[in-house]
Amino acid sequence: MIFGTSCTKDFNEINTNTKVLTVDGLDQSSYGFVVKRALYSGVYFDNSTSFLRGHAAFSDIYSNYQTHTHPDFYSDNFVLNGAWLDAFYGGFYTGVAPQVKYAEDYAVTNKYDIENAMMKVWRVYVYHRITDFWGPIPYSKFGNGEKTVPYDKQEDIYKDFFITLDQAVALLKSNRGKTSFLGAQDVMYAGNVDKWLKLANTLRLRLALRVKYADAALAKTNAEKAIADGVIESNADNATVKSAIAFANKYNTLTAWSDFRMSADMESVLKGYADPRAAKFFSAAGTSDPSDDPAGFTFNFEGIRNGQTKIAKQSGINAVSSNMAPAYLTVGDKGPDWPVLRAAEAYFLRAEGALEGWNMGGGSTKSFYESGISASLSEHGSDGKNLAGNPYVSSTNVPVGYDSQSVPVSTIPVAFQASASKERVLEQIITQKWIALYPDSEEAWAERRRTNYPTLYDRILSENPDIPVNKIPRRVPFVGIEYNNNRTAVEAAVATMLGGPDNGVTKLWWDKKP
Amino acid sequence: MKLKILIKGVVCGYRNNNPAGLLKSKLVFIMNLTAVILTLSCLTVSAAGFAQKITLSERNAPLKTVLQEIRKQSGYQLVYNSDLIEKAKFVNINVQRVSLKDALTLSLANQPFTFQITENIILIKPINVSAPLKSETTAQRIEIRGKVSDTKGETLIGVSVIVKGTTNGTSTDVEGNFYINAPADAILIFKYIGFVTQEVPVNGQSTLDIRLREDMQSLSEVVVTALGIQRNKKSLSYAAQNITTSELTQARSTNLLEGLGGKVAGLTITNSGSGVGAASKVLLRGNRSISGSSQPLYIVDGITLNGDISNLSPDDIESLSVLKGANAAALYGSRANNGAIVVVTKSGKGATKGVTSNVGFTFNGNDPIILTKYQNQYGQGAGGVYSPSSVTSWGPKFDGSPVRHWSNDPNFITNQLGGSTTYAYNAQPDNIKDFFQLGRSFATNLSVNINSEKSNVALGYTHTDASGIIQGNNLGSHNLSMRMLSDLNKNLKLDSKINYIRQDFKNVLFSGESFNNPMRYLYQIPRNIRTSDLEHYEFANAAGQVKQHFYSPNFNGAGNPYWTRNNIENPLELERVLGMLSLSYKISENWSIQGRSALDRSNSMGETRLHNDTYVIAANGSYSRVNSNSFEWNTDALLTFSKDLSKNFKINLNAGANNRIYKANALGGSGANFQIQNLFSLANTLDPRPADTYERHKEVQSVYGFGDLSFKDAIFLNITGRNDWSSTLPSNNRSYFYPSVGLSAILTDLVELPKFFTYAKVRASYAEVGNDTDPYNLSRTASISNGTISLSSVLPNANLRPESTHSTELGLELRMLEGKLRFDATAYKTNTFDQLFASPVPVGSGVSSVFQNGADIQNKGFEASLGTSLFSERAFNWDIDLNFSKNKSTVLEIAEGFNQLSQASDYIRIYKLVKGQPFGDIYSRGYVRDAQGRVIVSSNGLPQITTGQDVQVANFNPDWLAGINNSFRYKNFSLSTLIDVRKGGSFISFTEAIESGVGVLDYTEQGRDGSLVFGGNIFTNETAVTQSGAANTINVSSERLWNHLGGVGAPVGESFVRDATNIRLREFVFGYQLPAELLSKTPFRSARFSLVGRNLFFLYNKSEYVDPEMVTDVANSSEGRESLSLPTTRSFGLSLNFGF
Repeated sequence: MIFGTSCTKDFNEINTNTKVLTVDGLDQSSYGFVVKRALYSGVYFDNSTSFLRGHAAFSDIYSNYQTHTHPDFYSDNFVLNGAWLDAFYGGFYTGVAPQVKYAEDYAVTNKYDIENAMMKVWRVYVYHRITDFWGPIPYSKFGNGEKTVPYDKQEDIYKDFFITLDQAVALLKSNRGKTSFLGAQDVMYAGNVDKWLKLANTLRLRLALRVKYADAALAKTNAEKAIADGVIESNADNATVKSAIAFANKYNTLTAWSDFRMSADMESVLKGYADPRAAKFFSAAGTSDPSDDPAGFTFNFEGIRNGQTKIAKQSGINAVSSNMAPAYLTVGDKGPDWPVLRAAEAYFLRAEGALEGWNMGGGSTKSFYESGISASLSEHGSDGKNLAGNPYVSSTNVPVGYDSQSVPVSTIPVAFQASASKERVLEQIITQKWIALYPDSEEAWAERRRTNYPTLYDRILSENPDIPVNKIPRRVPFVGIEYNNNRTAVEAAVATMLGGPDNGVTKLWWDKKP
Repeated sequence: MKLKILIKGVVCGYRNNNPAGLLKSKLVFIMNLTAVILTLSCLTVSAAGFAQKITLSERNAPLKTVLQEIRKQSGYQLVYNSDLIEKAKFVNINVQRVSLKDALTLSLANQPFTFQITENIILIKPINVSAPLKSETTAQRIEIRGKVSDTKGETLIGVSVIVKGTTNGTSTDVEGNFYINAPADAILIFKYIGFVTQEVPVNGQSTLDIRLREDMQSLSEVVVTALGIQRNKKSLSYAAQNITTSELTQARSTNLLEGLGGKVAGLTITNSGSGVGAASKVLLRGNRSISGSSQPLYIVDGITLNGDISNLSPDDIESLSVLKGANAAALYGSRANNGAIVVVTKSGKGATKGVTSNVGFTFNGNDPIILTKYQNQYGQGAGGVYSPSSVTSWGPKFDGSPVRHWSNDPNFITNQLGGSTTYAYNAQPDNIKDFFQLGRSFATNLSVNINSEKSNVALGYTHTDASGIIQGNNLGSHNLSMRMLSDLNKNLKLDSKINYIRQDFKNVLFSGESFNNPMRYLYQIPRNIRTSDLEHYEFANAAGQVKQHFYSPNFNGAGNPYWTRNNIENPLELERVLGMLSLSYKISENWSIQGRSALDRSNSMGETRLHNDTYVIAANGSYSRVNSNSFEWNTDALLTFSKDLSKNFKINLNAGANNRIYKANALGGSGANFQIQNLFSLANTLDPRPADTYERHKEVQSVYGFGDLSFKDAIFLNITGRNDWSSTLPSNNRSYFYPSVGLSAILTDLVELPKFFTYAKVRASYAEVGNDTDPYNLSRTASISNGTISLSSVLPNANLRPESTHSTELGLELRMLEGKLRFDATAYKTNTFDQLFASPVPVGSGVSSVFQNGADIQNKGFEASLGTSLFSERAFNWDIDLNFSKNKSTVLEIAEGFNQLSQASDYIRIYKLVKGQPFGDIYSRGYVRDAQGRVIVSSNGLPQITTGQDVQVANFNPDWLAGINNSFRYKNFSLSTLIDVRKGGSFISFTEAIESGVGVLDYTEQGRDGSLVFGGNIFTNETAVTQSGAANTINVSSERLWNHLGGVGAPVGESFVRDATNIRLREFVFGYQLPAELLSKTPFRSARFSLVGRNLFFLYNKSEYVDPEMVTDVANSSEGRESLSLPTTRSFGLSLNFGF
């Protein structure tokens, strides 16, 4: 023992890795780095694999932004493969949730009020995208350090979102005009409290409308509260996570894999509307089809229908359809910033609120609708004219067939239909919102489920006996790693919280539109 | 060449001499206290005196010293003329437990002395040269040449050859050859320690090849055990097996470990199936570690390595012993719980004085064996429709009609196809085989021994030039070694060694589903694609960019394999230095001390270069580079005390201490988005990613003691104890002790057994081995990159305890009918507790896994070997050796609250440990079955598949393994064959899943018209029913079915489970040693050539399409899955060896 104790006194030092930090050793000087990671990872579900497996393989496809063209992947045919979703779910819970929790807890402990509020807003943002995939998820018990982590009902989660936003907004309000010490480490707003407040309120507005069909009173209260506290009204206040070479947009990794292409719906809508945003969203197809171009302008963007057969996927469809826009394509380039919440969406939400007769702050459904369109166009650098050179907002253009044989995806025009039915107006709002949200497909898919708009093409083929081609998955099944490692909790969630079998047909709590 | 016993000696004839001669000399009587005591007892046991066992290990020692040692060990008095003895030549001797008579004979070999033993007195006297000899017959004298070897064909050095009844004699040289001039009717006596003396009538023959049989009574096989200590095998209380090193040099493989396959009971080798430079996995008695390695520890010249021995030159190896379990290796400490492989390198000890050298050449060819059967009826396309851009073979039937060519090179049609945009739609049966070449390796070895009075130096150089079956997969290696033993003075000895290894891999192949693995693309080539079109793998486009020539450009997960082979480069340079310095000092007769320090250092520099247009990420090319180095530095000291407590009791006690330092670090960089295409330099990237580094540092300090007590050289008790202090464990658990105890008894020396039993030994041992973990596992890390901090998702445990292995084994060794029948058996049980591993917890808990202690993995098994020598006579003999092993690994416990542990998962399976189940169960997606186990088929005729990978479908662990070795010898010819049998174990073939999904396999040919009925005419071993329970009669097409079951994205593992049972001809060696008379007029001392074949063919292979031994990777977690491996190879070689 003498030998042991005398010679091992430097063992603690030897067993310390000087190249990494330990969680216990983090302090205020390192706090901002954790926050930066939480913000950056938060929008991409941690890494490019999880972004691929959740965002690109599911929400991009079920929002009909993109069509899956890889013959070996069938999510576009409604195959809800748990193994693919594992990485998505795991990426969030190991790469995002712990960072956010740490950042929020640390701020609470150290009484960093501004940062506490920021992280509360961020918690709501990151979790609402996850619960909208599955419904019940581990939320309130996240980080319990136990071998079983219970799930929460989606209704409870949403209600907690509003409470959390109340807490955050209170803190932000009492710090108006101030800047967080995080500065540039806040890669969204550089620590600007006022902008965070607008984000918090706009997020509340988004969530309020989300629950419209499930709890109308809750929706109205929160929507009006959001407006009263001030939402994003200008693109200058847009919440975006800034890309950098080291924090590139994950599409700039994914697009090189050529797994997906522009959907036929996008072609039908953008081409019909002569939409100037087409070139910001997509690249010209390798081989374009001039025969389906409308009179007056060239439209080299080609989409393909969702739910292609494996046979068709092998017939070289990538070459005749559009990839994402060039900004998303260069591997190693930083790519576009990631949109969290933008002015256009805020206006479309207010338009829908106004349609319901809520107090959306001095504007009409029409004015909010048109402001939304304008905000989106200007966000993408457009002067408000469509590709044919006419004003976009007032154009009566309607979608057209995606090729010379096909019918248009819908009949909804751009110009506001003041005399149309409420549903028709809602369809207009959501159709424009669908365009404006691109590429935020989590939101687009959620809104599509909530409102059944926009009207989009059916799948060509469904391989899921539960879901016919004219329907879409309402959720994704719980993942394999949960059945492996958290079985008791996931089984309890299915039995008591989900309200149906664990498949793609069971609707989420807020998915209640008659 | 194996040096059986390291001495060149001549056994002198002893005759009664006239004692009067002695009286003229000055007599010296030497006695000591022990001698006096023993004299009394010797008087009563003098008849047994000759059975006294002497152990001597002296190099260049004065004869006097040696004789004193013999006196001491025997307890006899010694009488000699000291003047004459002082002038005697120095003696080299190394014998274990030989008789007094033999010890004296060998000590006096080549000396002008003989000896006489009377009562308890040894009398050393000069040979009376004038003594009358028995007159020779008048028969004509002839020259007789020959060679002496043991029954296994190992040449024996220093065998004395005496003409009976004369003092005319010689001894065999280092090649086992002898030359003697004797009457044509003489009788030659061949005598050698440890072997039965043979008398052979000359009968006028001028060549005599003699095979000596081991004397089982004095079984003296030496095994190198812990800390480099040589021990007589009979004293061991655990299973150990030696490998004949000539087998490793003749049937040479570029990876030394591959050569061990099938030769040792309980040892399994699996290869990672990725060509030259691929790693091998070695398992002794099964898997036991959850998170770490289950592979054995490697020890070279007493020093533990920081890796394995795969890149050592077989030419440098003198002996290789396999210590099979924890019991054998308890003293090596922590890492030996999986057993140990102990290597002794050549030191030149025992070679002829002066300079001798040896040069050897080995050529090996490796021929790919494509086991997979492909269909040749249908080509490129889908749904029966031809498509030139399709990656599948679900197109129309071949009819030779012109179809559109796929080329994406605008000039290809003009330049290569003569302007025709079409080509004939025909099967290309060889388009996969064409990709491979004959792999070749050429090894040249030069070894030189320089032996002088006080030192031996062995120099070795081996150069290997190897090319794999994939063009460009080449290796150039240089292996330079020097070992020197020298006597600094009478009691102080120096042993030093330096070994430099350099390996230059031109292109290490990627494995498995890696996009950089050319097999991924090769195995899916549509059946109509012509090799000649694909061989044109690149072209420059109008912008001057190099582009891939491929039928489905930019397809994610497909590509032209020729492009991958040529334009994805993965060179690796490895350097390794092994150095050792050891000093041993004999303090007194009983005490000695040894100090030793050794280093194993490796550097590597690896690059990965992806040329522009590599799908799907290389924009102008991408590049990564990692430089790493690691070393392990062991310093130890060992104090030894040995004493004969009495005539029957001997004791040997050792105490030692070891300090082990391990450090590793790496520096890497990567970048893509090049400015200049295909300039592979970090400076050329537009997005240099931050350098990635890692550091590892750990230290383990140990003290240990071990002792042997023997009774009558027939009962042996071994006890060891070791305490380690590891820097990787928390301070309160840092120190851990583990003991072992073993007992063995030679029954034949203790009790009267039937004469049938020549030798019988039983042994039993119990051992515990403690183990630590990797560094930095005590606190949760937060890593910094790109100006952010991310928290580790592993929650460490600040209260880790050392892990522990408890192992018990029992063994029996029998030699019957004078050794013509041999039997060896071991039964063992090992439990590994408190393993240190990360277990997955729900990710919602805040981390994905928790590092902790837990588990109880049990291995129970049985190993046996049976050997027989059918004709052990001179000219012809035939040995048959069988070995058999059976191991069962069971997961008794995982950890509290954990009934299962997923170790690894991929698209086709999860590798899991499940409580109460065998180690390493494979789970995959499987068929949905009804209560009766019938497969439920949907209305579309396709079986319903579970959504998750939750059906247990396979386990790779074999039921049992066996090897059958036959060796034949006739005169200078030898032939040996090794047949290797594996029974049981199963795996999933991801290759078949992928290949069936694209319709290239032969069995996808059936039912293209839509006539398949699951459970009817396909998968006939399954009973299938519809959802209503009626027998399934629904027709489905081949394309629909195999797309449903196969493919890369979510294949049904259950459909591709294969049985790993196989029987193969593992090795075939034919050797010829040129007779001495042929060589007498050449500069060569010896010449041998051999023809070698390895893995020649399967006698039986149940899995049919792949070789179950070719796995994807060597990690535990890769078990049970074959994924896009290279084809297995048969190799044949020629080796030539010349001695000078």
